[in-house]
Amino acid sequence: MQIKSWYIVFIFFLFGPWSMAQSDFLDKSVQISGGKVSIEHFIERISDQTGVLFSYSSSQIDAKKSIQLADGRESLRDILAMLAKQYDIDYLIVENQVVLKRKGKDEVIEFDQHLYTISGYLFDSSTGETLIGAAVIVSGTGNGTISNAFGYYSISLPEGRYEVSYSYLAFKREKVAVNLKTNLEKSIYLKPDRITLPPVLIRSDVKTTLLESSQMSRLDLNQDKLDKIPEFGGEVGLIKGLQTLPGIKGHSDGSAFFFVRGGAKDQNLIIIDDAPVYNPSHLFGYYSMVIPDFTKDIKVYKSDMPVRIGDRLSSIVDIRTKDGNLNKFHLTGMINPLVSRLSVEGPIVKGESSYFASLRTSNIQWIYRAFVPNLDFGFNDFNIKWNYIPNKSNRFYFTFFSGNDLLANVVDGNTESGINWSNLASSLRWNNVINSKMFVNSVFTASIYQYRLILSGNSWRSNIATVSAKSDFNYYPRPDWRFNFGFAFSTHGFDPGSLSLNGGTKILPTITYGKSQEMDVYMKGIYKLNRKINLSAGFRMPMWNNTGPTTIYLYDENYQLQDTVNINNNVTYKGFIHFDPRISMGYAIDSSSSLKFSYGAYHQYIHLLSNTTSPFTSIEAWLPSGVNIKPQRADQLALGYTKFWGKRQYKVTAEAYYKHMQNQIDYEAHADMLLNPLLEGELRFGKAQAYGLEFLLEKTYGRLNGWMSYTWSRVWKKTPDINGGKYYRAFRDRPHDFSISLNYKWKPIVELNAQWTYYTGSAITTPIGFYKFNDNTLPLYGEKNNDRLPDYHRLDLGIKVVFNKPESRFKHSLTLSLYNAYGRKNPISINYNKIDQNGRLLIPVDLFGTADLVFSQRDLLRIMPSVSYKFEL
Amino acid sequence: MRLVMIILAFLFLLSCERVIDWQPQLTSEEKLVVEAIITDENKRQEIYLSTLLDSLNGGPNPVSGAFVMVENATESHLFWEDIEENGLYRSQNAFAIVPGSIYKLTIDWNGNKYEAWTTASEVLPMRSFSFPTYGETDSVYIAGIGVEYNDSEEAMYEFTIDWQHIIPGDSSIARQVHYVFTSINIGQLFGPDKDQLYFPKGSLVFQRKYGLNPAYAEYLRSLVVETQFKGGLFEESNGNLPTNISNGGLGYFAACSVLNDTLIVE
Repeated sequence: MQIKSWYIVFIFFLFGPWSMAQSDFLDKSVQISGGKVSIEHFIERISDQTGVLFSYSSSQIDAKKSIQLADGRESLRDILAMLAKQYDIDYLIVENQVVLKRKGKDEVIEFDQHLYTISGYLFDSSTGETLIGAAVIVSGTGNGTISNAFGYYSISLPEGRYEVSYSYLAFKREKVAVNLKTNLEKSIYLKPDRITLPPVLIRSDVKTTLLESSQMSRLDLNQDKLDKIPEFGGEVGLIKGLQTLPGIKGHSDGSAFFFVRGGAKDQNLIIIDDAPVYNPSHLFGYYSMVIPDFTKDIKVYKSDMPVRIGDRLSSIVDIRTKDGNLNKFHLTGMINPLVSRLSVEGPIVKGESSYFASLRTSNIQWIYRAFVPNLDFGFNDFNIKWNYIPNKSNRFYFTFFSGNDLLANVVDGNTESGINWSNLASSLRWNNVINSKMFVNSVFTASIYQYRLILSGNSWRSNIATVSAKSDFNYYPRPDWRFNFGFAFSTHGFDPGSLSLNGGTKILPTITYGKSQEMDVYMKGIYKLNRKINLSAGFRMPMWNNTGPTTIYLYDENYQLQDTVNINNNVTYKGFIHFDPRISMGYAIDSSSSLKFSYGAYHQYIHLLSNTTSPFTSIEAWLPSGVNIKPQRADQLALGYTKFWGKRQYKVTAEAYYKHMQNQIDYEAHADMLLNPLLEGELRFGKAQAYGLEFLLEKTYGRLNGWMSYTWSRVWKKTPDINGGKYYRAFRDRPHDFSISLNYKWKPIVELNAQWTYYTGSAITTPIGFYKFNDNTLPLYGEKNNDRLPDYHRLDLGIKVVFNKPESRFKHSLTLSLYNAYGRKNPISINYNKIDQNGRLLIPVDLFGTADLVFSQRDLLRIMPSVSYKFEL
Repeated sequence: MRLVMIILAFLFLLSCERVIDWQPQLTSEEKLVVEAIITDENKRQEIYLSTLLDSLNGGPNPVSGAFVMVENATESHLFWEDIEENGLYRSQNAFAIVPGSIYKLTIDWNGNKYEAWTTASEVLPMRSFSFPTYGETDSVYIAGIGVEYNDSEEAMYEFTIDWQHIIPGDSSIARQVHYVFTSINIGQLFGPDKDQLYFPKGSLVFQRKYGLNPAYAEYLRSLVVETQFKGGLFEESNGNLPTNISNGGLGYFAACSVLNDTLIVE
């Protein structure tokens, strides 16, 4: 009953204010003098009296046409209604302007009409960085576009005079008058507008939403947004930021794992400048591998995923890095007791080529060195980017990043035992404007993730490596048509786990896995049917091949080894071809709200095998689809609604989804996962279904801003050999997930922020009985995931004090934060197999022992204070 | 400053584990638990039958009045309940299992029939363990006891350590188990903290090695995962132990060759 009431309050809070949403300036009154007057003259008079700007296209409105007016005083709303009723002149509110249009008709561009193209790049004038997702609006025509992931835009229109408006989050809007008689190259440098940030931010957001009205389930997580979340140990981090968004659930404290719309933890693809990152965490998950200063733009897709990126069922986190300042040297840094970082960027040749380099390292040795002198524990990152613009049509980029973690016991300079993991990735990109309507992004990437465990000089290692080449085409033939198509070739290498003796020869058991090759072709068309409806349809066709040398094991229906087959080098032994359709539709209900729908099919060919509920990255292995592991498949339907209101300072997004997943991996109880050549025999395959409702309320204007998200969702799995073949809750099944992040600009130099997170405890399997065997007390479990951990909640607080004046070149600030401010003990596991030895919980070793076993829970990070000093020059 | 360092070290590096008052919903279902390990020693073999515990630390509920029989292709042996210890069933006659032979266990209890089959295992020679001294004391411990990887053998060592002749009393006798498996488990690498067992020099150590067939080794590996390895930071998902007892029974029926040795720790 309480929950029901809570729902009602929540729903009211979300949707109640919609009915009050109106454009206030429409209520301004206008004095009208009677008689005949031209439309052109009439709207000039209205503008003079109200200050409201009008725009229209002469192809839509005959401005010389006379209209008959009566004396009186009317509201602007009534006047516009009169024009619509008597003269078939409709209107739209865009950017607080009134855009006049012919009623019932958009500007129709005939198919054979000759079009000219305005195209170019959008830049930040201060740094030369390209602007991703900036809005380009052709006033009065209803046409517009957005810049792509590399800041390029292109729009084609009939010959004529136009006013083109360029706007982007936190930048001053730029209006350019063009007389379109030939193709035009217009690269625009937008000026940052820090002072008026909030209103600009939201206007741009409205435009982007309307222009991309068929794209749904995409969340933007830029650095500005991350800066509004209280830090943990000096950084907010990608994963912590993601967890505040609807439909994305973190594993638990200190974990880099996250689950999107009921998907498993390996169903999320993180790419940095197109290169995949297989483990995005440091210190087992406390820190994200992505250096905040290096990040320019983060887009998270939960469904309706772009066809150009593929092969994960649940999400794509597309991270674009900064190109480097083309105009001047810039330095940023942060010092924290746990982590420090420094980034430099600047021109190599001004306006033509630049670099960005970033280094981050943990400095936590001072905490433990006095107590554990042999421990070597920490991480470091190095990122570098170079870009070169030889001419207007071509641009080259090179990105390299590496991240390393080490936890080792070092004796006499030698690593006695420990673990070490590293990500290395690089991408070389060529952006080429073939012509004003065709933009090509060609990229070559290489990425490797390695995991190494060292024990007494021997090491267990696992790795996955991917090399890929891709050409991605954006074609803009008409303002109402846009195409994205391309192809990609990839090769993957897998070593799911091998043991080396003193770094040398592998010893038994030998596990060999060969290589996999993948080719993808894809295409998507986006069609603007009319002013209200956008349609998008496309497909992605992955083709997957496995080749030797390898040994494959064949199992019978009881998962017992039946046969062994040795595959020679480069012999293809298994292949898959799939056709994944994607469709989406957006319907603009009015100028401030839209309805969206999407369906997509997705396949995944690489799988992270890990039979643990631990929040930490541990000894895991990636395996490809093959003879024993079918590709995972998901079909997802989603329906969404977006609404702006209250002078557009509020935005609410509501989405419902249903996802059906096939060939989902589960494990035999106590599966033997390490160094097991017969690992695939430990796997069990079933299906899963996830469904839910997500709400996101954002307020980006004003001194108090922030966002609130709520998700109701369920995830069920069904695997023939588990739980008697009946449906069971997945570990990540958490019906309620709520998060609120608030940022308050208390004084010009002081910013306060707070975040509270709540979610239902994860589903776990707990005993329904105990029994004795050989003097051991053993559990009898009931149905799989029959129970839950206690609910999770946590409050984080932060305060940022800026020391410099806004106009100072040297900027510096101090951030204090408190993670888990009220010290909530959020358990990650519940146990029943330890004895209490004077407060220490230990596994008993004497089977004749008489000490009672106790129930215990383990939690992490009760209160974590942090202080960071940041500077910028 | 040092205090701050200690506090931060505690907060950041250490996860916290604490005792909780948790009441699991225990089933009232009556489940038969079979503990049936017969060996190649020519003796009256023993089988213990019980049901679920009443609570985590409750004593076993012995099962009385069951019909118990072990047979192979050539012989069968009836087991009778010990009149002094409920739940303990002894074979009517002494017998020893034959390695490689297949044995069948039949239990009839409460109108339900339970069966299990096992192949008698062989045992390889026993390896020696060392008993290092603990610090500056006269106490010793068994080095490396726990779980060991071996690519060619699976075995279980039982150590019964008796120092009652040095310090009289019930607490001067202990029992430890060491396992040898052909697989490596994450709990071996990142297991939870264990208690330590120290005993005085001069203690008697009765060492017994069981050869394991693959199925019983798998059962014991699961047992270790659910006991010694559970509760670490990288623990595996919970799951029931496999069993070869039919009809919903728990526990295991195994036939093992064994080796025994007794030594005095110097």
